[in-house]
Amino acid sequence: MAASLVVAPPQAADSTLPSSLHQQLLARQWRRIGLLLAALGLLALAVLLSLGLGSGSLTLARLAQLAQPGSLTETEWHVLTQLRLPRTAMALVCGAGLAMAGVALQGITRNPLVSPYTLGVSPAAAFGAALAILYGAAMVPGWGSVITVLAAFASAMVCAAVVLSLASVRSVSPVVLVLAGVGLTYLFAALTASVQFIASEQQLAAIVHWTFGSLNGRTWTEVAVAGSAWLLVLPVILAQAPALNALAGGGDEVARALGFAVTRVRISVTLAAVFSAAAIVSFTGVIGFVGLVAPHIARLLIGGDHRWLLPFSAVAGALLVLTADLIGRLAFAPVVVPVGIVVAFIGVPLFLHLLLTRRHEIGA
Amino acid sequence: MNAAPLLQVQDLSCRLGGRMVLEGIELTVTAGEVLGLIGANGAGKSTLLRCLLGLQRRSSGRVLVDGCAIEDHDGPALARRMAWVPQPKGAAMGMTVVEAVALGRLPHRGTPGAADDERVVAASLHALQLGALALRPVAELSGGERQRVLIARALAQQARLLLFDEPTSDLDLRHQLATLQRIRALAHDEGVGAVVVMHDLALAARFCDRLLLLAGGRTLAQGPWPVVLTPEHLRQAYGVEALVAETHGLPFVAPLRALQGVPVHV
Amino acid sequence: MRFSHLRSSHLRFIHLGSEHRRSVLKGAAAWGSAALLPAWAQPGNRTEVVDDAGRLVALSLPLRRVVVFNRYTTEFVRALGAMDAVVGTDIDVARQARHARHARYWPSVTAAMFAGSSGMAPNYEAIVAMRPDAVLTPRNSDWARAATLLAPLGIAVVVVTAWDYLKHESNVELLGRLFGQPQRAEALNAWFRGWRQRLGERVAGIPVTDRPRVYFEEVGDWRSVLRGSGWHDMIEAAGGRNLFGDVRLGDSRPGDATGPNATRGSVNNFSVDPEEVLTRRPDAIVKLQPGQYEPHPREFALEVLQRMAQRPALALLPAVRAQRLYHLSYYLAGGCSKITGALQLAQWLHPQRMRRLDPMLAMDEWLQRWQGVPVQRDYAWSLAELRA
Repeated sequence: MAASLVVAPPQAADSTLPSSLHQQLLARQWRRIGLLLAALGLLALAVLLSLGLGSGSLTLARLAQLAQPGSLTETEWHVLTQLRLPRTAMALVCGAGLAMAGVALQGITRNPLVSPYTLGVSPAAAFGAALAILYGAAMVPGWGSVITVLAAFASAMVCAAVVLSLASVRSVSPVVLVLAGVGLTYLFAALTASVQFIASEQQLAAIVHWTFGSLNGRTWTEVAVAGSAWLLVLPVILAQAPALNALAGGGDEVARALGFAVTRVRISVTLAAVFSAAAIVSFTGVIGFVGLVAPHIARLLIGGDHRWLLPFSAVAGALLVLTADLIGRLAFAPVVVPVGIVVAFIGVPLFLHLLLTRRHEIGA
Repeated sequence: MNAAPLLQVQDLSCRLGGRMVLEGIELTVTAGEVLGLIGANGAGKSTLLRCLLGLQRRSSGRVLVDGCAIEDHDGPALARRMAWVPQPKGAAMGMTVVEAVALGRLPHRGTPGAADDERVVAASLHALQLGALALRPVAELSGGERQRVLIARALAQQARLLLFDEPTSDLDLRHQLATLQRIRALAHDEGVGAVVVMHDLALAARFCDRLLLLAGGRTLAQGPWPVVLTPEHLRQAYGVEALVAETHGLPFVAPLRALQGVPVHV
Repeated sequence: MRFSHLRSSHLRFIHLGSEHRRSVLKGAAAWGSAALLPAWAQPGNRTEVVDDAGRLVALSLPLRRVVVFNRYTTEFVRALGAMDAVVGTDIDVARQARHARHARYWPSVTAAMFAGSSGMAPNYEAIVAMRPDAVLTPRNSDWARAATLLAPLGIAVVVVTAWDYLKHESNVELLGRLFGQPQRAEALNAWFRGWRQRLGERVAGIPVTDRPRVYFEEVGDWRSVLRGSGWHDMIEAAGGRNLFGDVRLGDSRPGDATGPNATRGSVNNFSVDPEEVLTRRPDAIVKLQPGQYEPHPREFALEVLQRMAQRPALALLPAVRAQRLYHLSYYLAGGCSKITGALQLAQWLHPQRMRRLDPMLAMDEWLQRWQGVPVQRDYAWSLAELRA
């Protein structure tokens, strides 16, 4: 029976790993669990701060009285449920979604510099929105913002289609995919700049505003749509964690030899990742760097096993965006610094630091 | 031992870039035997291996594993029957040894065999003496150690058919010996069928039960080594005048001089 | 050879092409001989003016060919009857010439007069090709670079910020001098002063507590204006208080039009926290919509205000419940240094006090008398009116 296919038939002493190794592996497992729990704890803290800090009378202390029914005024309740909660929820969806998309894309391209931004998806969304604003579609009564969102999404999916068709060609290596993505990024950035060039001052203001992502004034509807898109692709990406591990472990051919339909995996993962990224970015505007930095932070802490890396980077991404939004809201209150700017301020130094100290671990 | 062949190749041809790289290849591997694939550079050895794995598309012919064409096998099912030990360049860089070996268990996920994962990985590590290195990153290992990791991974797949792509090319004398002995033991003691691409003719002759000599994409000779390693065959396949002898029960091949004007089938 | 090139002699010249060099050498020769003449006899009769940025600019007046950036400045030029001198405009004005709907607002402007998208991104080659005497540009533009690049070619850059409510009179007076229309300039200023005085009388003496707090939203959602912005001054003039008027960013001080901090950070447009709006409880909400000479359709305005009223952060405000939401077209608001906007806003904020002072009269006069175009209405709506 193929079950005992090794050199020496397993004896009692060998039937498990040597005890020290076994213990070390167990310790690692516990460490991972601990890290995940710690990250979740930090996230919970950030959520609490996000709900409890801001102008107005709804402070953390007041929030603590939430358990007692009727303790908050109608205004405070309104602020909590209609302003702070949707904003917080959007930050979580945005951070988690973009980070997971980043991990997935980095996994299938085996390239650490890949993210929804560098594959052109976010810049494409910005271009779509810019076009909508330029042609005054954004001014259409009642549908203006919906049109902008749809235009952004459509544009992002066009870019995704280009990326996907490249991914599905068997002979295309990940390097080619990444280069194409870089090219698309520049193309859409240039297109957006062209639109800005011919836009009037007011349109220009609107376009630039969209380009720097913002969580200001998010509503539950928006959260629901973006959140649904992300929840839809979540199981798809998680299910491919083993395939991503195989790809990371040896590339396309080794993965194929281990029984994975690599081309199909690549297509489904790319589709899931860019779909969720496009959906999120269409509402929030371009929030760069989360999709690039959060996966690396996660990888350095929890390792490259995608079964752990995917959920952990989602938590890390959510934490990053929520913190950035908090800082952006409070630092110069009542003026709000767009979260896209703050994320770059936090993300770039962190990224550079990681790059310089741990570059050999980022691998490939 | 199982009488049905583990691997059957019927009339396999492969065209690459306009050129017929392989033509009319036929071979069979049964359980418990080691088949050595030899031939000059560019004769088509690695291509043949990849065709067997389904990594390279064939122009014609059939490849049957356990009596069933490889296209008819579901991906993971095929991986549970046939394992590949590629050359170790750039393999599994971001992982530790135990993680890299555990990749071999991926074809078993969702099957009842998955319950044995830890035991099989442990046994594979032990078999290749990787226990002490288990938590080290693969990137820090030497070429020979990495080779062992890849073999351990293939073992963890628990496949009856193992395909080795030049497993000794980067190894020193001692490790060459160890690896080939291990492969032979796997076949003779465990009933594994192995196909091994080799450069070193003497070692191939010594450790393989049968040899298949490729020249210009075609089978020049197939069978036990005395049948295959004749000066005439070596002349045709390598374009060298060589001496083949047996000393102390061990085969011995020495190239004497390159022949001028003899076309080497490339 | 035009004598305009003589002016280049006292400005730096760098980057000259050979044909320009020839002309400058000729000019230098002419100037050299002219230097021997008394000042009043020198050709070109240069005058020095102080522009909005405090710069001393020497020009030969009146200007015969100008490139104008910023729609408000162009409107002033037309109000002074000097539209014929305009040879180049920015995209706002030039684009309107292309659309039949808007073409009747700027009948003399053709698409060929396009000189760059705005003061921030002028098309220098197009400007040079138009051979203007000067370029008029507001202070929130790239005027310093423009001055450096155009000076060697004898084109002066004059900073005129027509959107600045506080500097209306000095700007108009400057324009009057530039185009040789001091009487018309004075007439326009008198007209402006008259309305401003009338407005001032009506809102005079309103104690601070009775000045309604206004949340003034710009084009983007949750973007408001701060002190230093023309809109802020307009709100104050209308007897209101800018909800975010107390916010200071950096060192920009009100009215600091000439220092290095004059336009730092663009006080015109900032994202604000919706929660903050809720906390500060505005008494009235004004939504500014981009607009042109052609007013928005009524349904559009209704839709905009309805959606705004439904925003979670605003829905509970007493101001929304009392339907004190107002839709204001950019066009009305910005007219004549925002005096028309201020009047309309004052009518909304202090209806009793503003009785018998109809802002539409001012707008009508502005359009007919000063811009020479037919009267239009419907630039401003209140939610109550729209729902009626």
